Amino acid sequence: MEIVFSEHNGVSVARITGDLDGNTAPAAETKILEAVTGHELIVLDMTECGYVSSAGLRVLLMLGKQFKTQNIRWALAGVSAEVADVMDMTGFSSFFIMCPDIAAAMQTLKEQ
Amino acid sequence: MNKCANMGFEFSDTIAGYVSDPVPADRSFKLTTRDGRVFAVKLADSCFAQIARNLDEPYMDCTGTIFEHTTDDRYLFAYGTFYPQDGDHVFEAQSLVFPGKSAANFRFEEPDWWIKQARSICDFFLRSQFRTHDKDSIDYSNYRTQLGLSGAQNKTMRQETDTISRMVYGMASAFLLTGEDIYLEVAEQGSVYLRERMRFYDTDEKIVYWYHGIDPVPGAPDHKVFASEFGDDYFAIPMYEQIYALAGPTQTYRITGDPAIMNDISLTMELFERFFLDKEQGGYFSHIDPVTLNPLSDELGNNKGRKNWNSVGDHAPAYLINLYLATGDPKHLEMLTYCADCICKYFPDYEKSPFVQERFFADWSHDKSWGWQQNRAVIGHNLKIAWNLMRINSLAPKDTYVELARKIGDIMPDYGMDRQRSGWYDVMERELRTGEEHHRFVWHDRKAWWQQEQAILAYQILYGLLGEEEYLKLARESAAFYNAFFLDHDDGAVYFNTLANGLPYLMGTERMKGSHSMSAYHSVELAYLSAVYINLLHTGKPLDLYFKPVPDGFPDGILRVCPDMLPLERVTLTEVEVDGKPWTDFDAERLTVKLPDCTERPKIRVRLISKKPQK
Repeated sequence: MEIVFSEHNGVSVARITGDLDGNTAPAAETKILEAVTGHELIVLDMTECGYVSSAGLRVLLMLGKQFKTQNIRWALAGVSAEVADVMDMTGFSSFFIMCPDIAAAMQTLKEQ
Repeated sequence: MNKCANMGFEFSDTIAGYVSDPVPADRSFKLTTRDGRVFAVKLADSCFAQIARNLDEPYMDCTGTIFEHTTDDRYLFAYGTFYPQDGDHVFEAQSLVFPGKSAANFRFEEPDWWIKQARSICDFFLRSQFRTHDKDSIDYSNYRTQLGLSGAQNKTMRQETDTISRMVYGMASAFLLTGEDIYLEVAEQGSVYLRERMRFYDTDEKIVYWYHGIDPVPGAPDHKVFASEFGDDYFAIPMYEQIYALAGPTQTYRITGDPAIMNDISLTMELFERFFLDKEQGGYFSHIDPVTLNPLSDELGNNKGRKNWNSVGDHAPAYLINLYLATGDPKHLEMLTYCADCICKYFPDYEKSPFVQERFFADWSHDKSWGWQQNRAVIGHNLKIAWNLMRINSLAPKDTYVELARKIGDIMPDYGMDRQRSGWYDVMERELRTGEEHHRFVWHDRKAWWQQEQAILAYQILYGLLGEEEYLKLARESAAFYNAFFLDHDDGAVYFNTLANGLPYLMGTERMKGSHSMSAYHSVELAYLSAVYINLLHTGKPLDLYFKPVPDGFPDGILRVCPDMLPLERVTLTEVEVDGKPWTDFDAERLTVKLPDCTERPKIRVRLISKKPQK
C-alpha cells in the first residue's frame, strides 16, 4: 500500500494505492494525519484502492472523527463498486461523502 | 409535614393480604398485609370477585361464593375505596382477586400454567409480527421492534437486533416447553436473519459484533445502524446490546446444536474477551468505541472506562448459563464463576445502602454520577443477582454466592417491595437524605413487568434450592400480583407497567407491547424458569422438554437436556422419545441423551422428574 500526497487548488489529495487492510491501515492512518495537518479540505483518492477490510473501514471512520475535531472537511473519491458495496453492507457508507472522482469531490467540498 | 388528619378525603387503592375473621352476615373480614398491618374490609354492595385466570382462559367469576373463598389465611387482592369516618378511614372493597381456589392453592403452581402462558405470549408475537401461524409463511422483513398495545405495528420500520434476539429467545423457550414446530421455526429463522442482516464479521480481528439495528429499505440495501442510538450509549458499542444479541440464538442452540449459531456465539465471545475484558483490574467494560474498539477511548465520554451491572452480571442470564447447559464446556462455567466472583466482591455496599452498587469506574471505585443512574438502585438488578448467584451455586458452589443471594432476598422486601399491594417497584434512591425515613422513588411508584420477573424468580429459586418457607411466601405473593394484574386478557401478552395498585398504566411508550426492551424475552424467561423450578424443585411434578437437533450438530452426538443449572442430585431423566418412539440410550443422572445416527432431524421429548421436591 502506498500513499502519495498532492495539492490541487487548496485541497489536499491523498492517493491510496493498494489494499487498506489490517496490515496497512494503521500506517495509513498515521501518514494521512501527519500529512494533512493544517489543511481544511481533504480528498482521499481511492481510485487505486481495490480492497478495504474491516480494519480499513475502521481507520476511515477514525480519520473522519479526527478530521471533524479539527474542522477539516473531507470526501472520498473514486471508491470502487466493490468497496462501495462493502461500505453499504456494513452500514459505513452513511458516514462518508463519496464522489465519483477527485474533481467532483473538490467541487462538493467547496460547495459545502 | 402533612398530618394524617389532612387525609380526610376519599381515595381508592389495593390491599394485598391474608384473610382473618370473616363475617359473612356483615360482609366483612380482616386483611393482614405482608408487614403485619390489619385492615377491616367491608364489601361494597356491588363488589365482584374473580379467581385469577391465565392468558386465553375465560373470566372466572366467584362473586356468588365470595365467603366460601374468604376463609382464614386466604391471600387475596382487594381493590376499593377508603372513606373518611370518625377521624379515620373505612375501606369498602369493590373487587377481589383470589390467586387460587383455596388457601393452599395458587393457580400459577399448576403444572402447565406457565407453559400455557409462554405459548399464549408467543402466539401474540406470531400474530403481531408475522400475521400468521403457518411456519412456511414466516418473513422477518415484516418484523418491527415497535408494537402498540394490541400488537399493531406502526410506521416505524426499525428492526433492533436485541428485540429480534429477545423474541427468538421466547420462541425457542416456547418450543422447549411445548414441542410445537412453529416456535422453533421462528427461532431458527430469526437466528439466521440476525446473522445475515445484523452481524458485522470483522475479518481482520476475527470477531463478530452486532449492529444496533437496521432500517429495511424495500428494494435497496438495509440502512444499517452501526452503533447504539440510545442516549445512554450514543455512538458506542454497549456490552448490553452485544450480550442480548446472543440471548435468542443461544437458547435456539440448546435445541438444535446448529454449528453456525455456535460460530456466531464464539466470535462474539472473542469480542468480549479481547476488547471488553479488563485484563488488569477485572470485570468487563460497559462500552467500547466502535472505531477503535477501545473501552478507554475519550470518544466514549461518560462511558469511558466504566463497568456496570449489565456488563458484568447480564452474561449469566442472557446467554452464558444456557450456553453452558448446551455444551457442558468448563470454560463457560469458569466465566460464570468469574462474573459471579466480581459481583460478590465489588457490588455489595451494605454499610451505605440496602441496595448494591451498580456502576463503577475501571478500578471498581463507585460511579455515583453517571447519567440517569446517579446514586440510584434498580430493584430488579438486585433481585436478578440473587437468582443468578443461586443458579451458578448449584453447579459451582461457593458460600459467598449463597450469602449474597440470601442477603438480597432477605433485605429487598423491606425496601423494594410494595408491602401494601404486593408487587415490586422500579428505580429508587440508594440512600436516605437528611430527615427521610423511606427511600424515595426516582420517577414514580409504577411497577414494570420485568422487575416482577426478577422478584418471582429470586424467591422461587431461593425456595427451590434452600427450602425456606418465607421465600415461598414471597414467591407466591410476587407471582400472585403479576398474574392478577399484568396479563392482558383483551389484547394478549403482558402489560409493560402497572400503577402501584395494579391497574395497567397505558401511556406513552409504556403503552407498547414491543419496544426497545419489550419483546417476548422477560415474560417467557419467567414462564420457562417458573415451569422448571415450580415443577421440579417445588411441587414435584414431571416436566417434558423438546429438542430438535440438526444432524452432526452437537459434538459427539450428545444432547444435554438439563433444563437449568439445577443440582444434579435433585432431578433425574426418566423417559426419552425420538420421533414418538421410546429411546433408551440416555444417562438418567447426567441428563444427557446419545442421539441416534440419522440424516433427518429427530424430534426428542424428554421427561424429567424431581428426586427431592420441597413439597
